Amino acid sequence: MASNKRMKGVSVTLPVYTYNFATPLTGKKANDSDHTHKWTVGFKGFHGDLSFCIKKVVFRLHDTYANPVRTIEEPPFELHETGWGEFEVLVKVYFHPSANEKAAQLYHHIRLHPYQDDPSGGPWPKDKPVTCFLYDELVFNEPTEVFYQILADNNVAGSSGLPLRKYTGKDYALPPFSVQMEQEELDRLEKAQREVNQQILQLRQRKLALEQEKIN
Amino acid sequence: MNSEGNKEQLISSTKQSDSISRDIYALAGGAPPIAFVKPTFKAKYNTKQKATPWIQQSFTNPARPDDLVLQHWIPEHKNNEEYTFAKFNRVIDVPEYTDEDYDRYLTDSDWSKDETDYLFKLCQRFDLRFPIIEDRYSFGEKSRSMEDLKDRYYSVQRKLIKARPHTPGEYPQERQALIQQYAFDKDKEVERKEALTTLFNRTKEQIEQEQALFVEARRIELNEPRLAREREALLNALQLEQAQQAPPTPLTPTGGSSSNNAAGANGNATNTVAASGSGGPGTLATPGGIGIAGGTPSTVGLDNKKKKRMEETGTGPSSSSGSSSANKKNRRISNASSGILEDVVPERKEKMVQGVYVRSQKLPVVTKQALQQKLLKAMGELDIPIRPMMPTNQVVQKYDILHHSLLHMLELKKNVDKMEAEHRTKNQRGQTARPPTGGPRDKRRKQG
Repeated sequence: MASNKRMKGVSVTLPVYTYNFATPLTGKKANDSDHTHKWTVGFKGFHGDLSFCIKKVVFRLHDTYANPVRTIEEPPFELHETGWGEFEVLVKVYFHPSANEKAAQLYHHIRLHPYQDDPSGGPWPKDKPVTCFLYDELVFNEPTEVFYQILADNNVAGSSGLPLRKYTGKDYALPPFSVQMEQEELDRLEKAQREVNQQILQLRQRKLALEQEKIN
Repeated sequence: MNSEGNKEQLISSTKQSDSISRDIYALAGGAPPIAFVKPTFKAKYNTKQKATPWIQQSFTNPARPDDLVLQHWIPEHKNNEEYTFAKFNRVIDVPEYTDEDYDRYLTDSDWSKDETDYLFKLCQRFDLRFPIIEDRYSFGEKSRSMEDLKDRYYSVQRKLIKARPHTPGEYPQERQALIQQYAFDKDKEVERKEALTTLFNRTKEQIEQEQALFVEARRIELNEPRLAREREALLNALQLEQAQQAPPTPLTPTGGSSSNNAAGANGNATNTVAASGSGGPGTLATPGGIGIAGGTPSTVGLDNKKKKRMEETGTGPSSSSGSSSANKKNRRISNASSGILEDVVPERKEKMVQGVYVRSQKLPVVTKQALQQKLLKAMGELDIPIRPMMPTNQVVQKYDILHHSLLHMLELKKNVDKMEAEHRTKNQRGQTARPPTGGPRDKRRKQG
C-alpha cells in the first residue's frame, strides 16, 4: 500500500473546466418530440487529457433520463445525449487512488439556447453550436506524496497550463480561458474595489460630519 | 362419637393406603407437630467379630532429651511404631562455636562473649523466634532491640560460614550463596520497621488524602501524551507565526500581504499585482506563506496576537475603529499600502484544510436574504458578475475582499442614512432655520 504521508503546507491547483455544446436537431422527429437538441457535456483540463490523475468522471443527469448516472472512465470525459431542456448536471470527479481523496463535485448548467447575439451580428445561425464553458479550479491541499509526484510529473505543479491569449478563432470547442482573461478579470475587480473604497471613504466623512453636527 | 370413629377410620386408612392428602388429614385433627424421635434402629451387636487386642506399652519419646519411660495403651498392630507425636519436634540448627572460634572470628566491640553465648542459648531455646527472644532477653542492664539481636546473630553466622574450612568438592559459589542467605542490613531493617509503623498509624484523613493524590497522579499520567502533543503544536504554530511576521518580501504573493496592496488607491496596486502575477497562477504555495498548518485550538490565541500587533502599528483613522469592530478579522499591514483602509480588508487566515475542494465553491456566501439582495445589486452596478468567470486563486481572493468591502460599505451606508434621518427629524422638531447638512442625498453608486 502506498504511503499516505501528506505534504504539509503544500497546495496544488489544477485548473479545469466543464463544457457543453448543443446543436438543435432538424428533421421531422425533432418538431414534435422531446428531443429538440443534441448536446454534449464534458469535463476537461489544460494539462493533456488528465487521465494521470483522474480515474473516472460520473455525470449525473436529470432524473427524467433513463439511467441518469453515467460513468465515463476514459478520456475524453464527455457524454453525448439528446434532450429538450436545460438542467444542471452534477459532475463528480474521482481521482487516482493514490490521492486518497474523496471525489470533487462540480455543477454544470447545460446551455441549449443562445442567449446572446452572434458576435458577427444578427441572430444566432441555426447550425452553429451553442457553447458554454465554466472554468474552475481543483485545489489539492496537502496532497499525498505519491499523488504530488504524479501531478508534478505532468507539469501541474509548475504552470497553470493556460494559454496566454484569448482564443478568438473558429474552433468552437476550445475554451476562451487564458491568462489574459484572468488578468482582465483581476483588473475589473480592482476597479470595482477602488470604487467601493472611495465610497466607503465618502461615507465615513459624512458620518464624521454628522457626528460633529450632533455634538454641536 | 361419630367424628371420633371417623378419625380412627381415617387414621387406620392412612396406615393402610398412605394416600390421603395433607389438608384433609388436617381437617380431621391433623398430625401432631413433628418431633425428632431417636431412630429406634439399633445395629445389632456383632458378636461374631473378634475383639481387637490392645496392649499397654511403655515407650520413650525420642524428642525428649532424657530417657523418661511412660506407658500408654495402643492397639497391638501399631506396636513398634515410632511415637506419633515425636515428629512435631522440629529443631533448628543453631550453630555452635568453640571458644577458640569465638576468639578468632567473632569478637565484637559491642558484644561480650558472655552476651553472645547468652543470645545463642536463647536462640536455641526459643527456636530462633526473635520476638520471644527479644522479650525474654535480659542480660544485665542492657536493653537490646530485635534488630540488634538479629544483626548479631546473622553476622556471627556469616563469619562462621566464612571461617569453615573448605570441604572437598565445594564450589566457591555455594559458600557465597550461603553467605547471601544470611545477609541482614540492620539500618534498612530499622527503617523498614519504622515505615511500617507509620503506615499502620495513618489517620483516616491521611489515607483519604493519599488516595485522592494517587487518582490525580494517574489522571495526569494518562493525559500526558495528549498535553505534550498540544504543547508541541502550539509551539510550532507560534514559531510559524513569528516567521510570518517577518517583513514580507515581494514574492510572498500567497500570503495576505499582496492582497492588502489592492487597497491602496494608487499605482502601488498595479505594481504589486504584477509582482504577484509573476509568481504565476497555480504555483506552489510556499509553506512560510501559507502559514499555520494544524493546531486549530491555537488559532484563537493567535488571532488575539495579530489584533494586538494591529493596534500597535495601525495608523488608520480612529473613527473607523467602531465600524471595523463589526469586522471580526483584522488586517495585516503591509508597508507598501497607503494606510487608508487597513482595518477593513479581512486578513487571510491561512488555515489549510486537508483535502480537495473546488475553488468556486469557496466563494463568500451571504446568509441574510435582504443583505444578499443589496449585495447583488451593488455588484451589478459595479459590473461584477456573481460568479467570476475564471475563479483562480487571485481572483477568488479579490472577490472575497470586494465582498467584505461591500458589506462594510452597505453597513456604513445604513448607519449614515439612519443618522441623517435622525438629524433631519431633530432639525424639524427644533424648527430651526438651519438647512439640513450634507446636501441632497445622492446615491453615489453609479460612476459616470
